[in-house]
Amino acid sequence: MKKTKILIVEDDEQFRNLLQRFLEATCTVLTAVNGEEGFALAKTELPDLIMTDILMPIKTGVELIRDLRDDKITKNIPIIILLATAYTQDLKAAQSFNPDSVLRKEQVTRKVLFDLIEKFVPQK
Amino acid sequence: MENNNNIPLANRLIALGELSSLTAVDMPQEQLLALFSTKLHTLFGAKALALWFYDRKEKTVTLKYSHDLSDDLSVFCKDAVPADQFPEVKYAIDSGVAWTTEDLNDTPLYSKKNAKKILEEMGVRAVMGVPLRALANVLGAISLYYEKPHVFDFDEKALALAYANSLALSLNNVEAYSRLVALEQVKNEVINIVAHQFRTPIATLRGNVELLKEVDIQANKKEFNQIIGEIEKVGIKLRMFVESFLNVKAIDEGDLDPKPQHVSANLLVDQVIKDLEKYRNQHKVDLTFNKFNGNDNIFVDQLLIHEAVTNVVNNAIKYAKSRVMVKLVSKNNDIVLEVTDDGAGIPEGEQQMIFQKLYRASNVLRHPEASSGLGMFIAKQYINSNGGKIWFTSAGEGKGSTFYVSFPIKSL
Repeated sequence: MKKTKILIVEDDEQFRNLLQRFLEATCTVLTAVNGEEGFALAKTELPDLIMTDILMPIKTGVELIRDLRDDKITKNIPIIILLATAYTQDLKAAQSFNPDSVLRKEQVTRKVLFDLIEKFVPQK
Repeated sequence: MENNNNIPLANRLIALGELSSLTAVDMPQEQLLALFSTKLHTLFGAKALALWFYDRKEKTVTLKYSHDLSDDLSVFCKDAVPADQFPEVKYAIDSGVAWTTEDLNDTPLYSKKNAKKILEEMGVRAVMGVPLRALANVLGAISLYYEKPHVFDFDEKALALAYANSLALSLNNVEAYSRLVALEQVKNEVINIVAHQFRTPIATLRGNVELLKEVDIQANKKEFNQIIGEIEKVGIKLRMFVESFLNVKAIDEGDLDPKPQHVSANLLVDQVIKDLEKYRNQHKVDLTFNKFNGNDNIFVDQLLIHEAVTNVVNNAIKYAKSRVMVKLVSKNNDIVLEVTDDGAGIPEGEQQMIFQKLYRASNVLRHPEASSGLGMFIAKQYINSNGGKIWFTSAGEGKGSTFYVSFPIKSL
């Protein structure tokens, strides 16, 4: 069975490493440190699922989701927002591009991540 | 001369009672001025009224509200005017009681040097000036202008003063309300910053603890150490964030105790740039550093100045579009650090606030990267405590900024 391919877009190095550790035993994990890198990887690698932070330099998560939804190659990839911001405007802006789910960072556990993957990525 | 005000005292007392209730209401300043001025104007039988705000430092007054002033007088008071142009204003403010002139023609206080000519042309003969003060706080004065010579009795003056006191108290309260609203905003901002800055590291710690519980320490020592390493890094981030808050507390309590020594400015700035290398790469910003050619010895507390310079350069990288130029130059016998970025610049109206606590320019409030709004405040305090100065130039929004830091080269 082919491994599920997950793209993590997160500028905080330690949080990115944590997600990678949680997932790498059973998934192929790609990582990007901002929306620009994330978008380029999404287009070339076509992951099964994208998890993205919102507040990042160069290209924000909101801009990334907008671009993913605008692009015919990437528009159907499920997107999960990883939320740390306390600013509700940021969440609203991101939600206007219809992410598939929003996950507060403090809720992240291995089980929560795999439940979401199972929900959004049909097993091959 | 006569007292030509036929309005019964009772009417004026009732109106005063009604106006006094406004001291408990949060109402726009303009509306308060209009309500009080209109009542004073009509119930005191004045031909015209002028309400002035006083600038204690400049000893000038500014016209804030008026009824029926002549065009000439309005033009005369377009900008701030010296308070002694209007003797009733000056004396009311100085004495703290209502000050009257029964007939302009009988007093030498009004002369050609002041507004007498314009008042005469307006048909003014008698004047009452009432101070606008809330306890010791002198806000300004109200001038009531009468077209006939006028005898002001004690009741009339006392009543006008009571109106003015009531208005001053209302104005004071409105200002207090707006300060409360501003404090509430600061509080919310602090909560937002803290929530954002703590959420990711706390989530990371929690997740790593979950990972640790699963690791077989004996069999997989390497993985165990890697996870511990991650936890240590998150701990450092959290400590740095908490420290920036504690630094502000130390500054507020006057606990800074700089220990200056001779330091190479070139080396200090070079180290800061090296420390920020990873951050700069993440931001895809080019940075050039022109070292100082000559004796680069400065006399500063190395730790405090290292942190201050880090905050300045970090800020430039954060907001730059693509490049930051760092230079050490000599200016007026001081060594001066110049940090120029091509970023968002600082909106003109906000340039005074840049070194204030929790300040973030309105054009970068939505910047994708969290900021505590403490960096530049801390930088300024640290630099000043070392006998240095920090200032900046910005051509305005979208045009980048240059920050300058001067360092003392010998002991204070």
